[in-house]
Amino acid sequence: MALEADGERGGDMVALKRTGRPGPEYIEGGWQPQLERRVLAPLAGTGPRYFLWLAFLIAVIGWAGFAYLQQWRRGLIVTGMRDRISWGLYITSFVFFIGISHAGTLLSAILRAVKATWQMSITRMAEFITVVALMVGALFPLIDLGRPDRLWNIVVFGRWQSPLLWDLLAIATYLTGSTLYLYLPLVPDFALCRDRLGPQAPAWQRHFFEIVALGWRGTPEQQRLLEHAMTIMMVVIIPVAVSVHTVISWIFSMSLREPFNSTVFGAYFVAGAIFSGIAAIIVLMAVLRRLLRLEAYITERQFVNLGFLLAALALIMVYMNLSEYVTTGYKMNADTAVHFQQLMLGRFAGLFWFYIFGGLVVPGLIMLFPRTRTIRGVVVAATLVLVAMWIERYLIVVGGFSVPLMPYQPAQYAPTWVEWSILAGAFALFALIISVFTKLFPVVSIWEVVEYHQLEAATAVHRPRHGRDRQSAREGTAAVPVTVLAQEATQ
Amino acid sequence: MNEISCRFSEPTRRGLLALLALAGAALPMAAQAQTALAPTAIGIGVPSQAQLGQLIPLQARLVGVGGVPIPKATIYFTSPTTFLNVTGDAVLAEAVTDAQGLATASWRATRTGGLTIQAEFRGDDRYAPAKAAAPLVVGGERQLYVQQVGVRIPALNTAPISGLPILARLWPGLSAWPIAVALLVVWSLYATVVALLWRIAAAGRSVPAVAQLPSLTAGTGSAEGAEVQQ
Amino acid sequence: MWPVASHPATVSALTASRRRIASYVLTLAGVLGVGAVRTRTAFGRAVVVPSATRLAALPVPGAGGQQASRPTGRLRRWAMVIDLRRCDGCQSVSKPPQCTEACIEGHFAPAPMEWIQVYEADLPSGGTQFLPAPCQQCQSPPCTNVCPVGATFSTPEGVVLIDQDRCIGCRICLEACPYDRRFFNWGEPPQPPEAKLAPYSPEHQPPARRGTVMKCDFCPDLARAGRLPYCAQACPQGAIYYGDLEEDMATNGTDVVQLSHFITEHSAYRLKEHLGTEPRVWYIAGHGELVGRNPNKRGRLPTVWPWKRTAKGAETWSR
Repeated sequence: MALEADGERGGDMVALKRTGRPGPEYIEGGWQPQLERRVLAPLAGTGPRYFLWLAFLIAVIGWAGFAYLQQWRRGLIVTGMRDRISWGLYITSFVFFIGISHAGTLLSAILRAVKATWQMSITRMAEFITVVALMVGALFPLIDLGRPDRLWNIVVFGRWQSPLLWDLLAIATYLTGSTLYLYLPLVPDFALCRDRLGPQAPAWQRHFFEIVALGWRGTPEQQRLLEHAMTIMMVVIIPVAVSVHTVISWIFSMSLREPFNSTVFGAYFVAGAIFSGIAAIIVLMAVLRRLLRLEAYITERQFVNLGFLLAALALIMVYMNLSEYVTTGYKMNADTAVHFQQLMLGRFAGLFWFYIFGGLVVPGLIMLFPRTRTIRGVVVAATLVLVAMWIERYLIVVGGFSVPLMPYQPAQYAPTWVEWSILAGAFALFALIISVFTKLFPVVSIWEVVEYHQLEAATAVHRPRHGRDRQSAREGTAAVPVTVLAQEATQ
Repeated sequence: MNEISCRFSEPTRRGLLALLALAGAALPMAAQAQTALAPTAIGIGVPSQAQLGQLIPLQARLVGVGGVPIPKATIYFTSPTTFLNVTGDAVLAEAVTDAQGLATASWRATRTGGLTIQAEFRGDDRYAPAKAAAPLVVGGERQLYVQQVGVRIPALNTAPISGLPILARLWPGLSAWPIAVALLVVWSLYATVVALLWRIAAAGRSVPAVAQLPSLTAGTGSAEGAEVQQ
Repeated sequence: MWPVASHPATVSALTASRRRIASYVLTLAGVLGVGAVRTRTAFGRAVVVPSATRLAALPVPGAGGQQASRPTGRLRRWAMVIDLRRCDGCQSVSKPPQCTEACIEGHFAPAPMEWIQVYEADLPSGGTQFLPAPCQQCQSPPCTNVCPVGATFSTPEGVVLIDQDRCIGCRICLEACPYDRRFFNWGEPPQPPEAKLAPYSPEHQPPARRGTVMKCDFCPDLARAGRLPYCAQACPQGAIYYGDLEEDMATNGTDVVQLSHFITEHSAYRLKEHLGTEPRVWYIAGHGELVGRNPNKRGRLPTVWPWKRTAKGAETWSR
């Protein structure tokens, strides 16, 4: 099977651009060109639905901007926070988004470090989530400031001893690191885009890819350098990620308030971050897989494996919660008694038990039984986990502030429309940037998936044909003729 | 009220004091004594000079009629003080007289200058009140009260007095060094990676450009029959 | 020291608005060099005149501690002892707690800030005790540790102050304080016009500014000028003693006591001692028994702020 030269196939390219989908004439057989075509399709053309989606997101962000304008003009009085509960939705969402950002670290770095390969097709999405979640999360402390006009004071007068400064340094370091870690594996894919999108691509796109591809030619020397760089980043990003969420937990546990005065917060928050990060990947995976028709490359195997990781992390979260609540509950000092009463029986009881059962127990059960261990089941579990983890952050922040310090009645907190609007705007911003990314960057790391497949085919490993892989076998990814691969390997 | 107090001039007071202390006479000097209460007299013994911060012994002897010592009586050692424009007798110490009528206490000198130390017996249902005074000059100059902060870790749990730019604070902080070192390590690794990227770009420039690869959508092929919608 | 003359007027009888007029008059008097800051009522207790009078009578509030030291060079270490045996929540005078009222008026504290707040705590026997709580001025203050910009700091006299020019409003100090003694200006704070008369300094906090944190500051400028803080001056029972740990003396306006002996003799305690914050406010246990309070008589009158809405755009909020 030969791949014909470019230039005569404008019709197909036009078809690609007009409808966003490949035309009826399609290269048959070749698995790699299929992969490339499918993954690069969004870059090649955009349909009206996409612009509608963008417009919707921009509208939500605009509404959030309007809400923030109210806050800028009148002060934080427009929120529901007051002296006794002085942190609310903003800090909750801050912790939540930074938590999600651990998705990329886990998948790209940790799994790569232990030489797992099944996650190759989703590392790019995971890295997307990391970078975007960090960008959105880092906005929240700024939104929460009473005097954002004095932001520069942190730089000029910053104190090393303050947990908030640790946050600033850690998030800046992690954001830089994950941007680098996103960019490094993108270089060969950018080169692919530069070479393969054809002259019909608009000029800005061609120039863009020309620049960011860094002159990648796939030479052995370049590959060696890239491998070296990726190894460095893989090793560095793991402790950085762990330190980021530990340091974020320390803005709470460095205080003397009773529910916060706990030594286990660092580990608790890191576990929770990885937990919610996995859930975020699963959800994004499911969405992009459906929208961009990547069913061939993101299979049930990825979902089930991630689902197992989710269940494992749920078990770890159960352990951390037990550690926390059993030890403080056994001793039950006065403040703990108030906290438990509010959390488990009182005002937060509904949210708390939803978090425990919906967020920890049900996802574990879903993964336990083969009947529910499907893509749909895993996505349901992940959605539950995402909602439950946001609620858990809310319970930590607001629940912690609700314990009275002196002889007064516990205060109430009710977020206002401003806070909800800004939260919605943050989610919309998250979705917006990811949507833009899908148009700029290939959502699957093509060269890595190809590498993995070549490796598998070359070692002629027979993949077992039981349930998990039945889908992938049907979709033609399992048994790729060695001859075809050999032909493609010489391209 | 039997009082030997500062109403008198200084030399007179000193003289009377010495007289009483030596003779132990108990003759009351003031006018109407309450008929129900037995007259008492009190003498005070304090050093005349002390240093700031020094522990000063205070003594007082309470005697009744005929010089008989009065035991188990509470003596208050006070000093007239002016603090924030309020004047009053501040109680420095208390002591109970023993069988010899002697009460001893001590006071750490925290004020400088010419002070007056008084010994007061406030009277009870049997005995009349009595009061004696003596001068004390406290000299010296040092800060006595040092703030206690428990375990004091430099730059970790001690607060800055005033703000300093972040760079100037790099020196003294114990907690600053681990943070600074960790950041330095991580960011220099980032710099290494960026340098590697630079080298990748340089290596790319030196390779001659390959002929344009076939466009993705070139060629014919069968329909995507192999595709299965989920 | 500083020119002070006694003013015989009974200011306490005036209403809030009249007090403002009085303050203007006194400001004028103060400018002319006869500023009055303390008056005496018929009961012999000092009441407070709003702080506008501080303008002329007081030294310019400065940044440091030099003026807090006595001429010999020793630094003061301010502390407080609150005798709860004398605090009845001002039930006996049928008014809102006067310490809070005086502090609010003296510092133009915006509603609903009570820099010294009188809590009512339950006693095991069934009654209640009143607990006036100013900023505890901890020697190991958690709030100063966590501030990212160093806006809150300890002076050499041990008073914890806030620089509202630097505060970025992150509110981690509100989270860190274990005593609920820090307050945030959530909106444009309601302030009377007099608040803008004196220049701002961390020791003289008016006018309050939106988006910054405020709290009790132990009135260091008053102390330097030889006067008691507003709360100590205003307490009708003399329950609040203000003193110096260095000179080891304290006074409540009438009596002078030796601070360490007073604390030991009455077994005074500090709040939440086990947290290690080393506060400088001691409490002598009680429930107002020395002024004849029945512990079962609950309730105190709610605090009033004379200027709930004064400036355009200002709004108050709940705590």
